[in-house]
Amino acid sequence: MEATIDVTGLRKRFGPTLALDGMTFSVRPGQVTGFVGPNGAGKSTTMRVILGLDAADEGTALIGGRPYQTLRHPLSHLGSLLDAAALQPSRSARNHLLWLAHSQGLGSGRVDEVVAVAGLQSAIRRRAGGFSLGMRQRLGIAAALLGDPPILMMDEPFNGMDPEGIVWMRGFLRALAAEGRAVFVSSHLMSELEDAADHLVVIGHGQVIADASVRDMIAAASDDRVELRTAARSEAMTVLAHAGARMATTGPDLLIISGLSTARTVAALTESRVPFAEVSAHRAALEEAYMELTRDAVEFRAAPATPGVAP
Amino acid sequence: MTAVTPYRSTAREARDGFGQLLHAEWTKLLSIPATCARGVP
Repeated sequence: MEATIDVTGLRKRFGPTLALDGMTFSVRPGQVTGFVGPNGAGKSTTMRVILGLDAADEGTALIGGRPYQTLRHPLSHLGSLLDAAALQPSRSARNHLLWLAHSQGLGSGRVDEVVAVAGLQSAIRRRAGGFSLGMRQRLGIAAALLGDPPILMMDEPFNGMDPEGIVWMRGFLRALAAEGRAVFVSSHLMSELEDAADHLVVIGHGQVIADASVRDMIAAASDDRVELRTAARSEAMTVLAHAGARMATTGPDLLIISGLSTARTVAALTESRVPFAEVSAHRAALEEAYMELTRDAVEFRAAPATPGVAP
Repeated sequence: MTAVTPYRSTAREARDGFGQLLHAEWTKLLSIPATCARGVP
């Protein structure tokens, strides 16, 4: 079976609310596909439809060409983490994994393997109800890995993780994809996925707004702008202006350059012996582009903060 | 587009059936502390 998720024309209404409005995209093996959108955009509903937990009014969601409900051993095809809090709080983390493993004819050896992968060895005998959200996320990931599936789907797995956990999660997702698995991860923050995802599906109001590789999205958003960090800002500006660049200063040692590629920027600075600390694509533009793309799709927005007014 | 080598699991193949279901339910039953099973907080 091919390790793919194909979502085509999904439509789902909850009373007066149209949650999904023709959602269409694909998740491919060997890459991390980020599923990004503001709260209420339809991320969780799409994932629930993929797992057959909600029935779509129209459209299909297929795992390797088949509906999830028809898979004989679902944990071996698709591992999922939708809600890290969905566990019996008084059961130990190990026993939580053990009964799931037993339901698929898997033994305790497999439980020990996934516990090690998720980094939960020291806490595995503790009651799962006492876990922090970050640890519950790790437990949910261990459960998703039990069947060693070629497809993994996780809803907001970064939630509740500390900075070390977020760095671990990014590397972990990339490692899973490098093994040839299809990894599908949702988030409402582009910054969480920027360094982890290869491909992004951006949604709003139940529709796909953008579906492109991170590289293409950065290129389009940054408009080929280059970020230069240098202590010798005025010398750099003179040299780059001669090379045909246009520049904007955004900090004491930061320049945003347009009209000159990263390679040509480095070459011009090196040739004129202007020291610099960093030259990179203007990545901040990706977050800006995401905000721009989803501006009209934000469902809940607070009033602008007013100084002196208590919340 | 680069070709991707599909992931091949090295784990033992999953099985299902009444025996596995019973085993899972038995594990669930045994792994809840008695006070919790009686509804005592």
